[in-house]
Amino acid sequence: MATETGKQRSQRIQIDYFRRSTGLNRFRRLCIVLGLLGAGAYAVYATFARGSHLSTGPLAAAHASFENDCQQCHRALTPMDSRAASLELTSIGLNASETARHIESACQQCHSVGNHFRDVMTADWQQVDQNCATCHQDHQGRDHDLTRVSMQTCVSCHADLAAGCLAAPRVRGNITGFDKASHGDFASLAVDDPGKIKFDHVQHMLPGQVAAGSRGGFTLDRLSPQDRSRYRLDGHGDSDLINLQCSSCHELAGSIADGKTLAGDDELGRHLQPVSFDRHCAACHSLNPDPATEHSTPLPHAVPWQQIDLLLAANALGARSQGLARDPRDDSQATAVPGEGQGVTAEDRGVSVSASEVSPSGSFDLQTARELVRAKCLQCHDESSLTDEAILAAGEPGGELIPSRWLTRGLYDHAAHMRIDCKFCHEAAHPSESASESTSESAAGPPEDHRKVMIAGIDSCTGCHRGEGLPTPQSLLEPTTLTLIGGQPTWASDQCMLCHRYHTAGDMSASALTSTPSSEPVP
Amino acid sequence: MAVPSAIVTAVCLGFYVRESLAAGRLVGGGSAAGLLCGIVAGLVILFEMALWPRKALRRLRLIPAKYWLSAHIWFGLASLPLAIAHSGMHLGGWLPATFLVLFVLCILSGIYGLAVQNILPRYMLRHLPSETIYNQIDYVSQQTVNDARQMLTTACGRKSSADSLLEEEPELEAAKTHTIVVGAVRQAGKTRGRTLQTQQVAEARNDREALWSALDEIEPFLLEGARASTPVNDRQPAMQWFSRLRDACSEEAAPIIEILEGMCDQRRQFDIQARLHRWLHSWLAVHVGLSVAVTVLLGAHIWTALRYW
Repeated sequence: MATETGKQRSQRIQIDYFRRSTGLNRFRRLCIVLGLLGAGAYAVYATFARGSHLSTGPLAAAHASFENDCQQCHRALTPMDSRAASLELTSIGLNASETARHIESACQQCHSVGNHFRDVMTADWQQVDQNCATCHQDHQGRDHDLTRVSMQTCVSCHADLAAGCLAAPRVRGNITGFDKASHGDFASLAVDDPGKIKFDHVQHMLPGQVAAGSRGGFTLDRLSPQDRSRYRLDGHGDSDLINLQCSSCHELAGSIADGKTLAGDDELGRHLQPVSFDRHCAACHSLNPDPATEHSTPLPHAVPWQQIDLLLAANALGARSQGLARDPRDDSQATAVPGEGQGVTAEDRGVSVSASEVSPSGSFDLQTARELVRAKCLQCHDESSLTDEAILAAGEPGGELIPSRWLTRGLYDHAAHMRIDCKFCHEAAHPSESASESTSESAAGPPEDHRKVMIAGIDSCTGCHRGEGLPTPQSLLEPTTLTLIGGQPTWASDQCMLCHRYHTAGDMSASALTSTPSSEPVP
Repeated sequence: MAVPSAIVTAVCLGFYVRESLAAGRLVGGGSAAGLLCGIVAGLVILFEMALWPRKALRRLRLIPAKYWLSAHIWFGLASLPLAIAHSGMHLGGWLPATFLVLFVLCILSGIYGLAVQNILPRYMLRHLPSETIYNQIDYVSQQTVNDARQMLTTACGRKSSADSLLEEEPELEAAKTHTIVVGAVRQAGKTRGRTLQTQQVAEARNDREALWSALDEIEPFLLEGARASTPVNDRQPAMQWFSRLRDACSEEAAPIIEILEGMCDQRRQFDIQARLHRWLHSWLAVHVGLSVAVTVLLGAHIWTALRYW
């Protein structure tokens, strides 16, 4: 009987079985080839095609035109990523300062904007300021708003300004949020009204500009016919008292009612037009050469005295030549003069007119007439504003007697708050219950409006402008407050960019925000 | 290797979380922390690919395969969160998106492979004692058929129709023996396996026709497995079929029928083994293919990222 040998047994398995290819081997080789060729071909294609293949996301709509033109912004080995700008890896050619310079120059090819008080920053912070991508991150989608910057981005520096400033900052150095504790009240309101214009808001807001029941209230028929429509309320006749509204003098800028201009980006009703004498005061306070008649030609406002003298003399000469000249003390007017009303004598205005200054024959006395005009000016202006130099300076940019903006460090959008009653923020400008009974002048002395800024502080904002998810303060839910709010939603964003802007104008001085620069940052 | 890879991942993600908190958003791959995560993930990918040359150069015995594979698995798993952190949680353009998707698929295929490599071999060891080398299944099956013929020739003589071919049959010499090679089941603990063993075969010349006819019927199954259509494809019908065969044959034929039944059972196990083997190893082809693609795209990603950072 034969038995199988060990060699025969070993031959039951092919000795080179591991060299023999199976279907799985072939499948693996196919996968490797496919992976190599497929990925390689796509990588080559993507490198040349660029655009959406390499992009980390679609560009914002404003930059969409160079979606496929990466070199518009990118340069080899120079990061545009905000978080990479501070990388200093010289071994592979990364230089932080060069990166920051490149980012800024790439953006400034189109956007010529100022920096953020860079000359008073430490070197580290200067690089942050140069790095536009810190705030403006693109490749976040077509609809991404590049100008939307989170509060945290601002707070990252403003929580400790001293750490990055070469000198002690004059603005608050530790702002961490938007409430009185972490932001402080508006710095602009800490400065008093320059007080160059005497004006009583309460008196002007009263019907007829007199206390209730008092005589001599201003009626519509004392205005020129063309001015009456401006101040007439619905249902009011000519004999009714003038009832001024806030908008009678404070008009929104950016009106395109004339159809000739387009509203600019900074307009659209966001700001109020400066109060103008000719538009907002002259209807009631026209500068008629005294004595006024219905034929008088009003004097121009804010012109040098020499020009006033010339016009006074010309007016007197013209009146005499037409037989319309009157004695300065003649108050026998029967007809109201536009902007002047029933005759008001020189004495009424506090101007002493001596017999020697007025010729019995009615001859013109320039000095007297000028004093009468001056008395009118002093109703609103102080002595120092009536010199020729002061008058000319007021016409220069920045010389306005009433500031065009009170909140100089932040922006306030009146259009966004249109439904809110003005009284909510400007309560002091409105007559109280007691003021309706007696004017402020008669009850509590001369008006103080020109000495105080009648704008409510940050507390009037933080009720609505609060963090997301925080409950509505109880004070906002009171019926009187809800009435003032006028149905406006009681929540709004508290992000810094709602009111503040980062980029300074080119001529803005950094010294406005810091004290004398020193070589070392303030600890 | 789990601990070192966890430490590396935790440190990198710690940096990433800290920078993200400082920035108030999830920073991307361009940030210092994101870049660190990306560099580490990239190095891990290159290390993972080094398993390939490591296998090719196994004769050098560089590092024990056990440790190498452990590092391959743990660092590979750790690279996924690092890559996701590097991406800043968004896919970006087509190239980085394709890269990340393929990378995730590669990791998932690896996880699948890790799972099946831990489950199926254990199952096979317990339930497939006849398991043989995958690519030798057909070869072994052919030998089984030869063994069966030899056994029948020994036990009951040549197939009548094949008498004229007796001189030409290669198993002529073997047919003169009275032994047959069978796979005997041996068990060590929970592990069972078959070993080659010769067995003496009794004579059953009275059942020659029935046995040869039975072999003819089951031979396609022994050679091709479930692809053939025979009465013994499935276990239950096979048991009934062999039972009928026993009834039809004399008692001397019982051991021979038992061996034939065992051969069918072995072939049935080969079929299961082949199927499990494909499950066990086909993922590797996908995994390797994806790994190659990921490595190519990694190079493209590095190149383009440095150019358009």
